[in-house]
Amino acid sequence: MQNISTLKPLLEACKRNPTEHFKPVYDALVDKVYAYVAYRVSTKEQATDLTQDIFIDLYGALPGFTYRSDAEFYGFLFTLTKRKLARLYANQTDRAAHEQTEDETILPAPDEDQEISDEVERALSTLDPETKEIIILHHWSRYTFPEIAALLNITESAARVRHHRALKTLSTIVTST
Amino acid sequence: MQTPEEKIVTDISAKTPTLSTNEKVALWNKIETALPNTPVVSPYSFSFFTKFKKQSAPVALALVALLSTTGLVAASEPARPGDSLFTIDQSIENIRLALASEDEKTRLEAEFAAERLIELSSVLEETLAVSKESNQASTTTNNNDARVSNALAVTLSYFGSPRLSDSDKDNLYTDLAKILEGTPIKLDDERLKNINKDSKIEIRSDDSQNDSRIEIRDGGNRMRIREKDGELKIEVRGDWDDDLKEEEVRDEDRRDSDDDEDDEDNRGKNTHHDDDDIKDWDDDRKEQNNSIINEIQPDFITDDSRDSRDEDDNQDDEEEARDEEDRSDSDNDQTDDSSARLKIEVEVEVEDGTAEVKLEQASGKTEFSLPYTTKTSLVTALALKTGLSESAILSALALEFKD
Repeated sequence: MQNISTLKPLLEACKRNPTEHFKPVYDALVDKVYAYVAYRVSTKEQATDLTQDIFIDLYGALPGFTYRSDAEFYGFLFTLTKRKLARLYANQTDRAAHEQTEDETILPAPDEDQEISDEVERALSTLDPETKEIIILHHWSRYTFPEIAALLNITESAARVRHHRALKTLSTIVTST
Repeated sequence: MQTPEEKIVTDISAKTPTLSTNEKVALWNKIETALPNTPVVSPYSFSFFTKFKKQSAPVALALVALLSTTGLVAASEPARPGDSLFTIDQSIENIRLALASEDEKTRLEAEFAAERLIELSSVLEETLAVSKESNQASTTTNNNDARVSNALAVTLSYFGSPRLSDSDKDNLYTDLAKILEGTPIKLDDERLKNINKDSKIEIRSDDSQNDSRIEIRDGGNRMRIREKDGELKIEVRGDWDDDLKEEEVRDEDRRDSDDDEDDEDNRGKNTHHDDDDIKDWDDDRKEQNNSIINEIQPDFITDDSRDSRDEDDNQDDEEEARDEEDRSDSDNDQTDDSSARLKIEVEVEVEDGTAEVKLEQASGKTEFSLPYTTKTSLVTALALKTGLSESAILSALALEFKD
């Protein structure tokens, strides 16, 4: 996962010449976007296609975006992502099918850690959706707590507290099993 | 040794879905191929027009056309002044004007002014019908009065457009006169609307005198439409009166011809008087409003009822004097009262930003204050207030400035 100190120079360069400078933006963001999308869709193919669509939309929308902070840009990107997901869900009548086939391709290939991973998956499924989203955004998409607070429209302290409680719940569930 | 929380974090992180380097490259290749040439709409932008700036004008026109056929805009189209939807009707007209070429704007403004006339006619018909139903045959109800007043003001405001030609304005005023002819109009309050520095439209009413009037001034030109005791009179002065004057001359010429055939002796006398009248009229034109005032003063003085009126009714007396002047027996009055017509005195003292005015004329003395301190503005204000011409005021003005 590429560490991003600040997106400002990347985004401003891309705004001046999108054709030449969109690739660095893609490199900086693809892991974040893909990780979150993969958590929200049922297959790796869907996640890849959706990630592609999100970046195409981002390319078109960037000229109209004025950079003020990384958190604001992530909110912008998150809105694009949500919009794509909403369109996808609108075409899917059975969201539950996603849960049942979730590990079809996303999960790593079976190995010696498979049992532990399954336990983690089961433990994660016990969390309420927003708490689970905080865990995913922080540990998979590598968003900071201030950024998560901005994305989910909650306070930073609320995000931290709910994350801490979720970790305790998850560890309790995993240990008990 | 990891705590349980650290361990679960490690486990969760280990499950992070990732793309391999080759998968990222492949994904980028697909994205690069699919990148559009034109930007998509930002998720924060809900403005259709930010994406289609160049096409916004035809799109706006299409929307106006679409909306014009259905819904609120269509409902507002027949709205008349005073109706709740009339504002929408005007807004649509403004949009049409904004999108029109200069030539088209002229045509549209004439069209809109004509529409106001039709709407005014409709309002008058409706209010009269209401009056009859409520057994108020000669006057309308208070609400209807206000509505007629409003419709008149709106209609007249459309006549002042600089884009309209003189002939267009003449036609509009003629149509307005036809619409108002024989219509009892009763205005319930005074309205004053200044169009610009040199022009104004004024609507006045006087319930006690059963008298209402509309006056339009543009520089030295004036049109006054007056209704008193159910009778409608129209007076035009200045350049606006050219056509009227020419028509009167033609009519008098025709009458002269008839007189020639009927009575040789009387013909010479009548022609003499008619020629005098035309000459006087030409003199009026040369001396402008000052001469007009001098012409009307004798009749103005001989009006016995003037004493009971206040100074604001001086214009009424002028009006009546001019009406009487049109009659054949006005010549003697002019001769008898020629000495009184010059009796106009205007004394003005300017002090502390206020002008104290003492106006003495045939109807009596009047004192009032005006918030003007320069001679030009004072003369203009006095002319507007008294109905006298600026030249008449200047000739009788005694102006004193006090520190």
